[in-house]
Amino acid sequence: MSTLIRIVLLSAAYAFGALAVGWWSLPVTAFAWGWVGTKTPRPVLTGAVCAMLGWGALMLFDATGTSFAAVAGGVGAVLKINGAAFLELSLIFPFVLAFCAAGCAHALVRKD
Amino acid sequence: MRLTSFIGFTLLTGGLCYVAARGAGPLPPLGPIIDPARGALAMARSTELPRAWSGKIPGLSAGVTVAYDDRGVPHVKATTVDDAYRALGFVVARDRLFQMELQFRAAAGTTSEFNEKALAIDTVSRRIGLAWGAERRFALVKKDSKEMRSLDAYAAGVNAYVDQMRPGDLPIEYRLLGKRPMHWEAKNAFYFLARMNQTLSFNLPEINILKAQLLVGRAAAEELYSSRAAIQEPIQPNGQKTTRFDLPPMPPPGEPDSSALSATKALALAVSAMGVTATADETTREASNNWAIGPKRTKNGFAILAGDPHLDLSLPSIWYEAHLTVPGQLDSYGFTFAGTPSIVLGFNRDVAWSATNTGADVVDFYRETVDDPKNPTKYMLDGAWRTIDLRPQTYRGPSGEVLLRDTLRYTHRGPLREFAGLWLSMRWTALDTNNVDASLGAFQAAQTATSVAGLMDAMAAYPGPAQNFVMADRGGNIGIRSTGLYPIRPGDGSGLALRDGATSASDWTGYWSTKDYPQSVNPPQGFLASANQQPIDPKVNPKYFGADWPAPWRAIRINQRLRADSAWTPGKVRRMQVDSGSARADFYVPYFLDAVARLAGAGRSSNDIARAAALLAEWKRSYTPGDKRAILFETAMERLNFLLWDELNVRDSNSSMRPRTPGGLALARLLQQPDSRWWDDRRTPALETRDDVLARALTLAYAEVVAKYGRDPSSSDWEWGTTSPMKIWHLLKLEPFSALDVEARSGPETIAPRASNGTHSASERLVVELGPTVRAATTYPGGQSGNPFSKFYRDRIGRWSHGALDSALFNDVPAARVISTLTLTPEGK
Repeated sequence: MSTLIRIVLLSAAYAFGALAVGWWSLPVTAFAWGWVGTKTPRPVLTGAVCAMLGWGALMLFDATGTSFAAVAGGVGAVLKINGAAFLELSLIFPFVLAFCAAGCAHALVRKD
Repeated sequence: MRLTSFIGFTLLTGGLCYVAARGAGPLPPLGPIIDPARGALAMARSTELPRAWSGKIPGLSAGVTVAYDDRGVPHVKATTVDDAYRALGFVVARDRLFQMELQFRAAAGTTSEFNEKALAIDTVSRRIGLAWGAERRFALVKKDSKEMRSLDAYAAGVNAYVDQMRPGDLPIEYRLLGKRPMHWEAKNAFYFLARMNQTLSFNLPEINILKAQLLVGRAAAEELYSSRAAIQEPIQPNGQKTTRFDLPPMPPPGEPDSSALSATKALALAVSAMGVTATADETTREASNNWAIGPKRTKNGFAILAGDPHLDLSLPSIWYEAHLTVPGQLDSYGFTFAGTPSIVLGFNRDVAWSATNTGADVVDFYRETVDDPKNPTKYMLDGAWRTIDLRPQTYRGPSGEVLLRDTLRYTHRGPLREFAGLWLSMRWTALDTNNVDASLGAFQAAQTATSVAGLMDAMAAYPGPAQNFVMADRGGNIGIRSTGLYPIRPGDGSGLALRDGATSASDWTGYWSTKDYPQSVNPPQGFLASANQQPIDPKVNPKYFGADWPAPWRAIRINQRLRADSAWTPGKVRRMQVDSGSARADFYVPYFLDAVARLAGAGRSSNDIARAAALLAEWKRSYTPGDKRAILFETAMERLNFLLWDELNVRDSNSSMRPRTPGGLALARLLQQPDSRWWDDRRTPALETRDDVLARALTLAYAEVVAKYGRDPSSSDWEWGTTSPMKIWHLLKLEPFSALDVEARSGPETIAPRASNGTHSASERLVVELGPTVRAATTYPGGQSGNPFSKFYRDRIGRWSHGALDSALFNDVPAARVISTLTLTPEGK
């Protein structure tokens, strides 16, 4: 399977997981990827990047809504950060969480 | 190495998952917020109303259409009244779901399940008996009654919306709290009405009298918080053509009288425990205005009604604007509470109505004799022990953990609790079940009334919180009545005593008859108005109704203006609602200026006094945002109260034993007595007189204003709008979702009001002209949506602050002004 297809499919898995069951599908998906994708190049990083891409795609869809900037700014303000920082957080958090969850599985199954 | 990696990654994953699921410190649960599919960002796609949408509600008898106009007002068209309430529940839930639940929980005493910091609010709500009273009153609603059907219908509408919500529809507050919405129950409306009773009718004038008695004796104390307002501009016209100033001398401060010390301490603790701020001054009190003008005084020859209830402001607003139509049965427009199946204040094709708070004394305390002061199970009544109703309570936190266990006790009068070694029970009309709670039924009946007489009938059984309902109809009739349950007390009828609970002779013997309520219909003066003043002139009817009345400054101003014009139009009435002129300032300012002039004449002036007086003299006595002198006057009034009422100070300035600063009625009387002992400031060796204190207050105020806002009185820093903005807080006090710097035409005790440090003002405004075609205009400080990201969240604040109202689309909603159409169908079809 080419790297591109792998990335698209994994990103889609993160997105569908979020749509189907919510945020907690992210660590589960990442863990599963860390387990099954252990023989692929840089599986942990791939898992993290794809989490960011999958959630980012959903955020792009959200951005079609009329009040995207207002929501980002408003929620950011409640969290005492600005809207841009909230959007960054919304991408960095899945990256870090997926990295850790995939890393956890990878550490279990890798052979070195 | 693998093990180290595994442990490290596992710990990090676990930690991040914990933060995502539960939050950490001030951080809310991040997962449900940043999740792009169901989290906050998903709200961006469902913030605004779609052009066309649909929903299903179980029990609907036929389809219902809801057309939202371009102000976000839903116009409900149904074929049955119950269907209209189902639809109302659905649309209110869409816009105000979190507010509904929070208001219910605040009365039920379960807000700690949202956040444990709210436990103190919950204990007050439960101990005061709100939930107990709501449950008892709901139990009296007949299962097959119209009222119960409406409650069930409304709940079905709310729950249908909750069940059909998409992920992006979940209000942001639930996301921040990590919670899901509850299902609505028919009884919940009663909880909200109980909460409104707490806000509006929990008055305890006796506590201030008792506290003051400890300091200055009973005679002086009773006059400080008198049951007879010294300035008379009553709601029920008394025939006078202008305000009557009965300003008899105030008795001097007497010797401290500690004969009621233990009772006062207990009562003070009780009041404090019940969340009543007994030390607030008169500019922090609940208030409202309304008036009706008969056709002889209007330009078009039609009656006009105006109303603006003053409440603590919030985002979203307490009010929700709606229009309910059922051909041949109902065509009602106005303001409803989120959670109440009815228009509460509004109009139909024939009548209009609005309300102000009466401030009647409807709460009494009783000193009970109990079997075991540590853990009583019985109380004495007429020589026999009666069983105390014990109700164990559990307060839970957000995760269901137990925060507190408590036992509530009830006598036949109401809640019983121990304070400072005394067991006190409380009787309050809001908790009584002698009558079925008819408040909801009264509002629903008002919606279909066709005349002032019909409205009076519809409202006759309304129990409270007691309101001065003003009314007008298309036949040119106007009316007003202070409606609600008023207790008949034994003895002299006064509610100013702590009564002996051991005898049933202390109990209320009934309620006033409706015909005895302060009221008037079509008076010769051609108008009727109320602004929370003493409703009836004690010279007309001396019966005890309450005490510690506010000075009627707004009523004076309203009546002055109504008397002065006989060609009123809706436009003039709208402008009058934001009249920033002040009868209070008109009364007090000359005293300041005269005092300074007299001192100058005696060679006792100074540059600062002269400067301050010159600035005050320039003032037009108006509270427009750009006015630069109002801040000096208001600061001077604060200083005056501080200097004058030193006799009421207690050692600990935060003590709950300090009585509330006496209101304007007491001050107005003292101003007639330049050498009264009250004017002497006991903290100084000199013997001060009225003029000394007035001049000193003005001088101190000038120094304070200069220190805060600079020496240049023409600077914009001195502007009223800058120094004293209105503050409209979000329900959870989230600053980004609040409006905290609203410059408005409003001042203390002006018709356009500002109180409680800018958090209290006109919660809505309504003007209705009852001609052949009813014309109405409305507004409130906020917007229809409770979603902070919606364009309808705070869209009305700007126009509200300038006194602008919008025409209500009552007669027709042009297609061009329909922004969204909701089609509701029966579930299963």
